Amino acid sequence: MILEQPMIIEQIMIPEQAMLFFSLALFSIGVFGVLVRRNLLFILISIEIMLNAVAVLFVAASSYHNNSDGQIMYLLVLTLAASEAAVGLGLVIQMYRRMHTLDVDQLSSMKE
Amino acid sequence: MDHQYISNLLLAVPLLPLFTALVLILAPLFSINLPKIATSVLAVGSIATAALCSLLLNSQLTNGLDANFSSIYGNWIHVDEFSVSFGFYLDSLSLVMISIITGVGFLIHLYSVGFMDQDKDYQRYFAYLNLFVAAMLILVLADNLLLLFLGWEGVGLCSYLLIGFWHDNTNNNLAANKAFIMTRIGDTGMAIGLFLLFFQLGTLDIQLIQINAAALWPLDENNTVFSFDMVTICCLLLLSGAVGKSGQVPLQSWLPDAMAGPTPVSALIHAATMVTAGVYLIARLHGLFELSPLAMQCVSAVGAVTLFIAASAALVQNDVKRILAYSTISQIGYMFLALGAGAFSAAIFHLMTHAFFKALLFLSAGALIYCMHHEHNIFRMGGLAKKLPLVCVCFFIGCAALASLPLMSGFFSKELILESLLDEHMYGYWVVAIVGAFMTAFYSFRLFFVIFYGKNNKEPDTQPSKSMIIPLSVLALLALFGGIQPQGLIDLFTTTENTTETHSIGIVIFTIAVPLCAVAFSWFQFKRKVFGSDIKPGVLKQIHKFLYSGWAFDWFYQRVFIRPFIENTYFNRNDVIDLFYKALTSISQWLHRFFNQFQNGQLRWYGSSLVLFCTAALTYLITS
Repeated sequence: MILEQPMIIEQIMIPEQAMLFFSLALFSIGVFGVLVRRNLLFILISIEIMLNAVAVLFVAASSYHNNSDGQIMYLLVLTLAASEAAVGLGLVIQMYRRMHTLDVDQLSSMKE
Repeated sequence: MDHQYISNLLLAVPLLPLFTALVLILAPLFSINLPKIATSVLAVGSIATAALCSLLLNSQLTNGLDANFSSIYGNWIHVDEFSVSFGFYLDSLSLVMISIITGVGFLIHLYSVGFMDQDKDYQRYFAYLNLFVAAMLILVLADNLLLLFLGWEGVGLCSYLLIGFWHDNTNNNLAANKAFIMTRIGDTGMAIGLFLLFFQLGTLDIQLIQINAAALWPLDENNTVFSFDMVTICCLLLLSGAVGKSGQVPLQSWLPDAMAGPTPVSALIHAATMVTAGVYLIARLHGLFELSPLAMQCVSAVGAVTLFIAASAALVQNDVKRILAYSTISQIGYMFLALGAGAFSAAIFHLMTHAFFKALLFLSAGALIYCMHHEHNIFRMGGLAKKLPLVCVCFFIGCAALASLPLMSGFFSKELILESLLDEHMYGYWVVAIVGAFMTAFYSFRLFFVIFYGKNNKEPDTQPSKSMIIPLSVLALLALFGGIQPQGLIDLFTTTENTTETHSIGIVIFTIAVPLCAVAFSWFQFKRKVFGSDIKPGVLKQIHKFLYSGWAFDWFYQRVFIRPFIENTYFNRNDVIDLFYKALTSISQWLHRFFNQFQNGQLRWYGSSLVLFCTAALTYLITS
């Protein structure tokens, strides 16, 4: 029996700080997109970006603590994001059909 | 008769007119259309019933029961030590007053049925008139000063409403405002007087006030005309109310203007009853006024000045109602003079005869105005003796009683006042009163001659109706034979009056001769065609103008009070105190505009501020 030597994959260590900053940057981009974009579709995408920023942070924390809870959490977030995108996109399509626009400033009825 | 019976009878007297007044006022509100005949029956009937009740009360009280009777119907206000009841007090003074009010009031109501026949506001007129009678009855029957004040203000209100009854004409409204405001000036003083009396004596009950006051401020040698103590202040404050209501100097100038109202109103309110409320008030509180020699002197002085000013102003007027108004002021001046001399029963006696003959004069004047198609100027009437004989006779009787020709009702009462002035050794006032009597006789017969024997230039278009003739005849009889002083009055005030001295026959003849001379003088001047002729410019013209304006009181008040007031309001038209409140509003408006910018309804802005805050807060938490 030839015991195959298990292949040792050299793990590339990414510093925690880099992961944190990456997540922060991603989250900021998301926030900025939500605030600045007028198109509802882009706002939805920006929300996805924010969700993913949080998900990345979960994974990073899980690897830092050697605990797989964060990765499980990531799967949860992933499903949430998928369903949210499905519902949100459906709503956006309905909105466009009724209002013939996706500009949030025009859709706003808070001050009327 | 039992207590309960009189008590109920007494309550019925003011409540009947009050009830009909409420019915007449409320009926249109519930859109119930009362036919005209129903209005007349309700209004006149209630006063007639009240008159009947007071007649019954007269017989009860003169049947030798008690000299006074009081009945309490309930509590009005009860707070701690302050307690005011709904109570009526009946003695010979209030009995005389309610007899005048309901009796003369009934005749004037009856007269109004004919006089106001064509008026579109028939029902409103009778509602106010009934309300007036009710308020006046409450005034004279009240057993405490607060209830009296309620009636006092009630009659003021009705006077205001009835002067401005024909409110389409702005002048009438102005006259009503003037009457209301000027009497209010006096009433303010009176209200302060009431507070002061309550503060000092702890009660508002009229009888208790006089007992307590006599105990607290006894009249002794220290009290001279020059002592100015608490009782004097109270009396002077009450006097200010009486002066305002009774049209005495310096608050008299509303009364001639008050003639803007319908003539029966002038007869009832501004001659017979309301304007004599001041006289009643002082007579009612005679126990208080007698404690202050200074206040009594003031009452006399006010009366003397008023009777002279008003009588001289009446000499030159053109408007029949204005002449009668000035004469009313002057006659009330006589009453005040008598009150100040301590001759309370003489004052009330003159009040009674004055109510008869002045109501008669006003109603005859009303008949003239009615028949002459609303003509007020006496120089445009003339020569009516043959055309309106009945009015002429009534007017003559009224004028004769006013001039106090011998054996008329006015003669006895005025003679009594003059005598009591001599009894009190007030010779100066006596001279003023004699001069006043001369002028009174002169202007009343000037009025009579010019209207009935002057140059004829206008024809009467109708004759007075039957409902006007009956009251005129009854009042004429009263003015002729009403000169009997009620015995109860003499009894009520005997303790306060000296026994009358006998005066030399010369003085008596002199006082009788003065009015007769005045009448003769008036006839002489009338024959010379002095009345109504143009006066050459000069001093005489100036005097005429001065007298015509009623001694220029209106001009004076215009200059001293009204114009400075208007100038002040114009100067302060932006209201200094308002600046503070304006600053408050502008600050809050500015803040509103500032914060409103953030409430722009844009979700993205809200989100941005949320993010900004969270970032700032987190940064602070992390770095600190």
